Amino acid sequence: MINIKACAHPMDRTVMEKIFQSKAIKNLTDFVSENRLDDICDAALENSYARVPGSHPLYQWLEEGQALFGGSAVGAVYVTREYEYDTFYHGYSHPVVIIPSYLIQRGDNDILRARMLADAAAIAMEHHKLEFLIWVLDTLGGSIPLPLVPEVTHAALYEWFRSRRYTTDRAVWLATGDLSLSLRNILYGKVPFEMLDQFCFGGEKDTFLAQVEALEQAKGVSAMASKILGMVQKESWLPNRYSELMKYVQETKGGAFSG
Amino acid sequence: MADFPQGIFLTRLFMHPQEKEAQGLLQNNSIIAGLAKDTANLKMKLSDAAEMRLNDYLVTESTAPRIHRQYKRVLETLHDGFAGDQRIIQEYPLFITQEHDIKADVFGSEANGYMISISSGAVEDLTDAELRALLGQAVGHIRTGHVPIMELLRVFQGGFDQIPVFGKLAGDKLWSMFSHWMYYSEYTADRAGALCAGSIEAALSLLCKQIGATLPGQTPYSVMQQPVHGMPEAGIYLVWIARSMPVFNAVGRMRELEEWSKTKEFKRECPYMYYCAQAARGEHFSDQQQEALMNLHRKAAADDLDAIAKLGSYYLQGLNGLPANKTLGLSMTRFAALHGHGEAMYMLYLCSEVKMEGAVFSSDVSKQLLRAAASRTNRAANAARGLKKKSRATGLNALIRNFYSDECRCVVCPTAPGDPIDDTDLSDLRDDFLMEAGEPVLAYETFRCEGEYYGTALTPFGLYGRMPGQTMPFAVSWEALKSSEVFTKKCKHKNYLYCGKRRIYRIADGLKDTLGELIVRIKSALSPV
Repeated sequence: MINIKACAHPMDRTVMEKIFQSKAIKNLTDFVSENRLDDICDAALENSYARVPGSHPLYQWLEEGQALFGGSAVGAVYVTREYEYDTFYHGYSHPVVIIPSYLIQRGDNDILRARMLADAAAIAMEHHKLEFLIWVLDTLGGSIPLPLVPEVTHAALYEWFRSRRYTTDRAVWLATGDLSLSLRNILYGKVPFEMLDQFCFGGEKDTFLAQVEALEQAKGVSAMASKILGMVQKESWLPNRYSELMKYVQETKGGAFSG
Repeated sequence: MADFPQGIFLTRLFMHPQEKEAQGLLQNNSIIAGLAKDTANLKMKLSDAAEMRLNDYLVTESTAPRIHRQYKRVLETLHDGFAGDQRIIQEYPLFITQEHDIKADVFGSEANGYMISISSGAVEDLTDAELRALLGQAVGHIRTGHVPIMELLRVFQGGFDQIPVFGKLAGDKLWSMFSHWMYYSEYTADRAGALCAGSIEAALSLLCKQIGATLPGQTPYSVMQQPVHGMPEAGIYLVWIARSMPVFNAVGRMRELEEWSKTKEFKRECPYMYYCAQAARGEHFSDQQQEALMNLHRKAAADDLDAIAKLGSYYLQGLNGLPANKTLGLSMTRFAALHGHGEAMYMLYLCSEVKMEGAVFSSDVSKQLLRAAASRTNRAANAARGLKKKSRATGLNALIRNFYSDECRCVVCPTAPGDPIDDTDLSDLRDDFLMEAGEPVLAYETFRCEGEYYGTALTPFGLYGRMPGQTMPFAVSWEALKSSEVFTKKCKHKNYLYCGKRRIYRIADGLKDTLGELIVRIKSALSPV
């Protein structure tokens, strides 16, 4: 068993601990409960998506993740026709995972397992609950009479969006022990596939490392641009995810990285 | 898989019974009705429609023939009624928009005109029947008056909910009416789509493809069996929750279609689709006649020519408990006839003799049908006894042999004297061109166009063939060739060789070294100057 909350990225852990104590979020959670939005969403998902057949190993990998990280069981894995390679989860009390058909059809079982482990870790962290509440606010927009959430500024929320990825990247490495796979999982679907396998993940021949170092050493306008982008991007810049994981691996293993 | 036009369907057949009430409630509300009208008019003036006209790809017969053909079939199925004997078929501009999802959208208003757009994903990934199902949904939305309310909902979903009057409505039960209507209007459109597709299976597989349910082991029936819980009353929120799902309630819609396909009304109005759906589900009837009918439909759906011919004659005449449906019966009979079924050929001949609508052929074609039928089935042989014997041309073999022995021998012609000819190919050729069974073939060229075989063949008795756009093959005797003018002419951007008024050969890159040149040489030999 891995205590994912202890291993989580500090920003992720901080936001998740504080946000559910805020009055505004409690009001929102009560509103969700009173209007049965959780049940409505569950029913909408059941009626709008097709389940991945139960024989698919995705379920087995999710169970593996749940055994490792704890957290709610995943009710179902649904497939969607999206030209995408990221999975996502939905639902408050009964989270489900939604996976693009293109990701399954590529047949890369290592990556599929990594994605399921990442989702299991996210659910153990209760990311799905915060995401659900944000989805309620996004979707229902101004149609519900709720005050703003002052305790969580936009900037902090964006930080959380990025840092939750750092947490799940750590989870994949902790669960598999395979740094190369964990790094590949970050880049999968984000760079052309023909380039993906040319990245030498881990070790001395890691060609991506040079880009990360250039980012860290950036000065002047480049550094400012990086900071500004950092404030408004919902997804972490890939080199940041990459370097965050590498730092964590080095800290955890103590000393120089040994691949 | 063979698929057959089944006639026309009136709105009352496919409108979901609960939608009528839901739509009525909305339309009878003065605020909603007024807002819907104003929204539709306003939208047409905004950039969306104008952008579609400028940036998206307009579908026409020449730019996208396959899509246009399916679209025409949809419009003919859900047409606007009759003016005297003529069907009123209103065509709305159809655009293709570059988008991966499989979807169709409808825009516009009664006053300013409607437009339909379908995604490039739909064009690339759907079969013809599924494409008709999707287009049928869009046209169904127009025919049943959904578009003004859909336009209004788009405005609401776009976030215009802060305007005071909407805020007032927010607390009103009208939102429940909207959410109910959202369900039923889609059920109505799905039914229209299924009718245009000609099969419940195509409509179900469309929905499966739209939601990505195409993994190994996934079928519409497996998807419909997944566990679901009932939807709590969602009222105002459903309008926005629906927007966040790629295809809201897709599984629910599949179940509705499936249930509709089991009803008595469906069986009465669409028996072909009814029995095919029963067969696809693997269900059985206790009644022997019903069971036999279902098996016949199952075989017909699997391209069994005997089954197609038999069912064709049942539907033509309203036999064996099936209602008469001349459109369906004729299309099945023609299909079987053009695939070499002798009984179907004879049936088609009989239809042409009584000048049945859709089977009005020239006397030459009728005779060709009868000869072809008589060479394949005894039933027609008697009727063919009165036909004048066909006359052979002499000296043709030598002419053809010389043509192919020249250095300028045509390389595209797949046969020439001495070349091995596959018997199956020849048999198919005789079927496609309604030649007599066993009729000698001296040379031929065929090509595929929009999934069907066309081309020209030379026999001792004359030319046989079929050109694109022709529903029936032609036959031109050597006597007729001798006495008619032979010339080249363009038709729909392609060059053809004509004999009188009839197109007899499609010219690809010129006549030289082709069957077309051989035909011209034969003509010269038969009628020397």
